Amino acid sequence: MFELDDTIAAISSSAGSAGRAIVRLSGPRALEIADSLFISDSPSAIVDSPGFRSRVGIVQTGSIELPAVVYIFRRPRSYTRQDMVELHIPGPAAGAESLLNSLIRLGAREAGPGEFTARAFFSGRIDLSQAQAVSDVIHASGEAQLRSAIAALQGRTSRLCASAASAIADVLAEVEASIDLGDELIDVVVPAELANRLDLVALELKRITENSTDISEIGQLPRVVIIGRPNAGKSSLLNVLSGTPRAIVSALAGTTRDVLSVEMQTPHGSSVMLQDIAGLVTDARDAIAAAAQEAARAALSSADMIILLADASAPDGDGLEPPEDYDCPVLKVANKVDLRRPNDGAWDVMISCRTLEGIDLLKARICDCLHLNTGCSEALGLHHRQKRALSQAGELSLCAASLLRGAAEVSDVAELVSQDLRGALAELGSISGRIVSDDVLGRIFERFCVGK
Amino acid sequence: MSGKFDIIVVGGGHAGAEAAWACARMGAPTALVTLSIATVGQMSCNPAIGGIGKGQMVREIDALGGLMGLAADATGIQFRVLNRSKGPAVHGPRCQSDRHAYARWIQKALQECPNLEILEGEAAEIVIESGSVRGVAMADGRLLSCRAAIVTAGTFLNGIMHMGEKVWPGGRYDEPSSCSLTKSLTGAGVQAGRLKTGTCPRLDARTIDYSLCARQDGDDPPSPFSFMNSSLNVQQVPCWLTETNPAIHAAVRENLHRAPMFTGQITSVGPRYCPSFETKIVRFGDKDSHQIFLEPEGRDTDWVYCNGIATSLPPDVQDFMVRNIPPLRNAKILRYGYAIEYDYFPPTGLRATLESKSVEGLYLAGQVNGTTGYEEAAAQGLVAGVNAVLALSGRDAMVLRRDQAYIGVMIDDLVTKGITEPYRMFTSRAEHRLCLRADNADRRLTPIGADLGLVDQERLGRFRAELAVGERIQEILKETRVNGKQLGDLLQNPRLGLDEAVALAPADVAVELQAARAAHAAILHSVLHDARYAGYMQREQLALRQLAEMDQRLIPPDIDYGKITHLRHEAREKLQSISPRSLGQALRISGITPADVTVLAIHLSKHR
Repeated sequence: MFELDDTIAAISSSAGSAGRAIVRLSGPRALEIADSLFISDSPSAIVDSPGFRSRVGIVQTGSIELPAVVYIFRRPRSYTRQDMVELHIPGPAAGAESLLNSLIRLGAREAGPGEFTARAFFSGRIDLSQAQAVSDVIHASGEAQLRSAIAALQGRTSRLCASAASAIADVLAEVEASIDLGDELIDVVVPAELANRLDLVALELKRITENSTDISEIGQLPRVVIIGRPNAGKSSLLNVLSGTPRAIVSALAGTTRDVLSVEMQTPHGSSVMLQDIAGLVTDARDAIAAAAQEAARAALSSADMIILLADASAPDGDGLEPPEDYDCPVLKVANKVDLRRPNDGAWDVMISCRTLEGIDLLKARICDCLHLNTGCSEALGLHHRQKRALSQAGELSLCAASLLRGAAEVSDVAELVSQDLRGALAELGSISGRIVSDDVLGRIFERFCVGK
Repeated sequence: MSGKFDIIVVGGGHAGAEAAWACARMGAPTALVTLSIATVGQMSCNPAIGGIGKGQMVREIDALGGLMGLAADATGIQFRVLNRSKGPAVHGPRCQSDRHAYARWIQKALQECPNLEILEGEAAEIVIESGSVRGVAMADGRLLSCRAAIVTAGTFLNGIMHMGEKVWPGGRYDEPSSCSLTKSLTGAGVQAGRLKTGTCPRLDARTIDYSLCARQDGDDPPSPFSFMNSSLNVQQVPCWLTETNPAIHAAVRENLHRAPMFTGQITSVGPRYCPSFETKIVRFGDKDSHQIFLEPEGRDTDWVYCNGIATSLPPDVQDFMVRNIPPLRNAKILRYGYAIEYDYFPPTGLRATLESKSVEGLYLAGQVNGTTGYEEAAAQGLVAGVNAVLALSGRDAMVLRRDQAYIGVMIDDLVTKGITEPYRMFTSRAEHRLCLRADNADRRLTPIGADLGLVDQERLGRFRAELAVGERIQEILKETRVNGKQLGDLLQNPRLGLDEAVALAPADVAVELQAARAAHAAILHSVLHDARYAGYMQREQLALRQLAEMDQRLIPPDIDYGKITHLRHEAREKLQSISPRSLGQALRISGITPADVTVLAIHLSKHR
């Protein structure tokens, strides 16, 4: 459980060499704590300044003094609805670390992951789907994921749910009217008409879930394992595909001893995890190499696809054997084709990591194998929980529709249909964390002239 | 003080009658104070008891040992189960009553009730000392002492009547209002507001041409309200149906400048589901006809109630309306329709026991809590009476749950959500509607009534016998297999009724079911209805368990919401004003989000 009413602090800029670092404070003592290590260029203290101001000055952290801009967000119009302060200091990260430590010494507590967002959620600033989206934006591992997370943050998930919920509530109102005003000879629609409306809702919910992209949990990206004989160029390929010089590349065979994992952006904006495992050699020369082999096998068994990489320039041609047990697509790739071009069609893709020949084609083939190109970039990112709730809501709508289809009058099955539709509304409500309005009676009175 | 009582009930309407009955039956020396004994148990509006949602509540009042079901059975002149063609969960028993006979029946029951004294006079003030009720001061100077007072003053508190441009003080037609009682409560910190309701013109039956109306008869055989009556021997009378027409609608439109509802003369809110005729014309301008139900007010009276045209238009417009409906061309209006504005006390100021949060020993029930309807009032009267006695004797309160009774739904709605218009029961307010049926009210509530001492030995004996029959039928449904399936499971198909079940069952079981049908029809059907809904009820179990869990997490009454700094300002104010007893109730407050309740839960777990 989160504490909610103490003062928390965290570095909120990303780690690494950003141009500036941001340290955030939220809680009742935020202004006071910031004051005690900030020397403003202007005479007034932070605690005395009204909301939404910035101050330029110097922060003292330990023995260091850093130029800083301080932004003040007074409650309740801040993100967390508490007093908040952002301290912006020039990078690198070391300064921010030291600043954070000073804040903690002054009584702030280091925030746990997502704690600022949790406060925003609990204070009603954002709803559950938006809170989820904030965490997704932070953890987004692809451009498309980022886009859909931002869409959710702007309330797109909630809006879609709200519109489906509203359509269901309208049908529910008709059904309830047939029960509660049954003796007033109101014009209740025929059951098939309501069934059709529910089918449409179910179809729309299905469309949303099917077109959504999975927001996978961290570490749940599709895994592409690159295997090949030592010095086939696995690390080079990894570097070329990911665009980062992560793996140590050397001409000496057996350089890679561990499983290296790097993310790759696909042309469609999604991400995959590339894993370069130790060159598969049968005779590990030492204990370390043996351990590396073990890790390699583990990576192989959880692979979503395998790239078999061969050195086209090697004197013995390919000499490549697929691993013993695997259960995923395999792409045979010949590297170093700039040195020697193999002439037979045994290869799926021919590339050169040095000249980048064939790299785009390889990326496209990876996407094909992982079925990544169907996800359109505007798709809504949904969590497993949200998907399940949406599909439950759709199923309950279909249940209600089929009950209605089998009935001569709405009133024959009204109390059962109502139960299904209320269930569907509850499922949709669980996505935004908001209970869908129980204004069914309001909808009834808007539509029907009742009252004896 | 000239009289000493444990409990004084102020008002003798449907709430007051049940409250006084419950208190006295539970052994508390009780007084019922009324402006006039002759008006105790009076039906001020339509001469009918029950309906959809309301009928279920009458069955619940009866199951707990209250009066209304017995009185309705004894004095009904037409019985109809509304929604009879629909699923059993939404059957709504209703009857037309002989309103005079009904009032007389109630008066007699109260007069013969031990421990109860009926006193005539106006209660001018609830005497409150240091936050607790001490007595009731009468307008004539008498001072009655008591430890708890139940105020059931209906529309009488500062009642103002409207008919066209005419405005006059009154509690009901030809009856004075009560002007000082509100002040004695607001002086003690009870909030007050204003609401509006209205009634229709009454006609002389001898001047109506029924040959031009559609006839509506009661059920044959009639179904009783009370568990104590397995059948009714009653000569039923018909109701009649006619409708309004465009000429009348035009006349109403032309006279809207004289309608108190639209001229600003009436400022308070009336019920949306029971709108005045002029409101219907304005809000639903595209309809060129509205139904009118002509309901006889009794067996030996010529008064007829015109259900559907409640109005406060001036008498000449009412005359025009009536004379331009063909069957009513020569009809004589015996009393014109009118509207009334009255004081109510926002029910969020109450605990679930209906005791005021501001004054110990002060209970409020009925229309003063912003409800409408005899059944809603009676149910609250019963709950207030029971809880007043329980509190005085130091016993645990009776708070019915939402999955236990419509009464529980209503009171939870009232004290948790408050009202913005007069509150009427609808079955759609009950999320556990399939469990809350008219047919199982006894099984749900009679054991509670028996524990309270409200249920007499005769009823309890009969209830236990029926319960045993019910258990035997449950056993049959479970153990009889048809094509490898339990008979009970087959009954989940809504198209499969008792006859089909009998036809499917082996011979010996069929005989037993037929025998039960002959001797124990009510419990037999009730158990079959359980089977019909079993699938849905099972699905609901998880939700019910979660609900129960939330309802069991109690919030200490002395909690200071101001100190929970992370709570939204709006949530803090709402929680402070409603002070829910549990997290479950907090979650049901309108405008309180699950996030707010989580904050509250975190706070509670830290400060345990």
